[in-house]
Amino acid sequence: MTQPRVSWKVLALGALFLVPLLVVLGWGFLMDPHEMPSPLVEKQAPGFDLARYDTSERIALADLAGKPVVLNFWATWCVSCRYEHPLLVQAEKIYGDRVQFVGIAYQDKSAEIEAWLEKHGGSTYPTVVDVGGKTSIAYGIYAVPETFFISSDGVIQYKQTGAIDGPTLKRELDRLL
Amino acid sequence: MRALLLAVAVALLAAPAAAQDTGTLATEAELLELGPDVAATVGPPASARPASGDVERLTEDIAALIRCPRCQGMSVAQSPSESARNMKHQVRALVAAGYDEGQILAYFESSYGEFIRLVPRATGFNLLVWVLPLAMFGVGLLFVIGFLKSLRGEGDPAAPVVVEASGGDAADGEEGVDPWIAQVRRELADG
Repeated sequence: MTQPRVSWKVLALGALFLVPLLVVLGWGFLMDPHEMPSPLVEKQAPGFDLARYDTSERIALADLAGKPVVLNFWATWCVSCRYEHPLLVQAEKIYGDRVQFVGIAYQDKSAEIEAWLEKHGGSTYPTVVDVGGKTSIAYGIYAVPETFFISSDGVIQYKQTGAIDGPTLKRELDRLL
Repeated sequence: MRALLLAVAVALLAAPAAAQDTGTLATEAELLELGPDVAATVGPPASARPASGDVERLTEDIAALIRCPRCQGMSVAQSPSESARNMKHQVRALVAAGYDEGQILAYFESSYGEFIRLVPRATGFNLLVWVLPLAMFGVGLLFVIGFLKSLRGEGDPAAPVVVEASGGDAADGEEGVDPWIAQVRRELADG
């Protein structure tokens, strides 16, 4: 009975392609699929000029220059926004004199925002409505909640994808100051 | 009657799309407004405003190249989601203002990153996406060719002949025949 011949050339050629492929796939396993690095970090924050849901007064990023800004994209239909909302309100009570907090309602309506805030203890900072989603596009929003920490010179220092936790919120607020 | 059926069909088809609207409906003028900092990001429009008849065609073409951020492998042109439709409105506004395909893709890429391009650029690490399938096909082809050659090589008179020494079968005129074929022939001959 003859033994099947092993072609070392074929094996070497196979390994030449298979090993790098396995390395690339293995490298993929080390990545966090939920992490969405934003190209906007360390860049100038896109400007916006949007109306408040309650008073229709307009808030523009340009008017907030000179003060760090925490920009929170959220929605009434977003489940995890319920969990971070009290944290943000609490943080605004502590840092509000030095940092401007602004909520941007994503794909939402004024009546729903009003009812939601009433149900969840209100808000100590303004919320504006992004009608047509142009500001959300400029900030590269994938899904809410997403929170941007903008330094007093208008540069985005950090982006949080998903609900923010207390330690991260405190760390990034302290970094802004 | 036909008109009624048509109206019902249109209403049924429109219902899922309408159900996905959670945001405040923008006016026509708001939909045609450019997003923040467009000129600062990609400069002035590269070309003159296109004719109104071309706007929709160009919008569809460019929206087909932009990934819907909340979908699985769908373009902004394909997805019925509200965020995709908002993005498509922005593409339309940019097209109507005279921005070309490169500028529009660059604008979306500046905020979402390269992931937003449904067709990645064929440069750098991305080249693997284009080169690897071709390379794998080439390797597979070489493997098949090599395998076929090895099959033919077994019957090649120039190839070294391996005949089992036992049984003195070389005398049976089966020189050059694989031993297992020779054995099968012997067994058939023996009945």
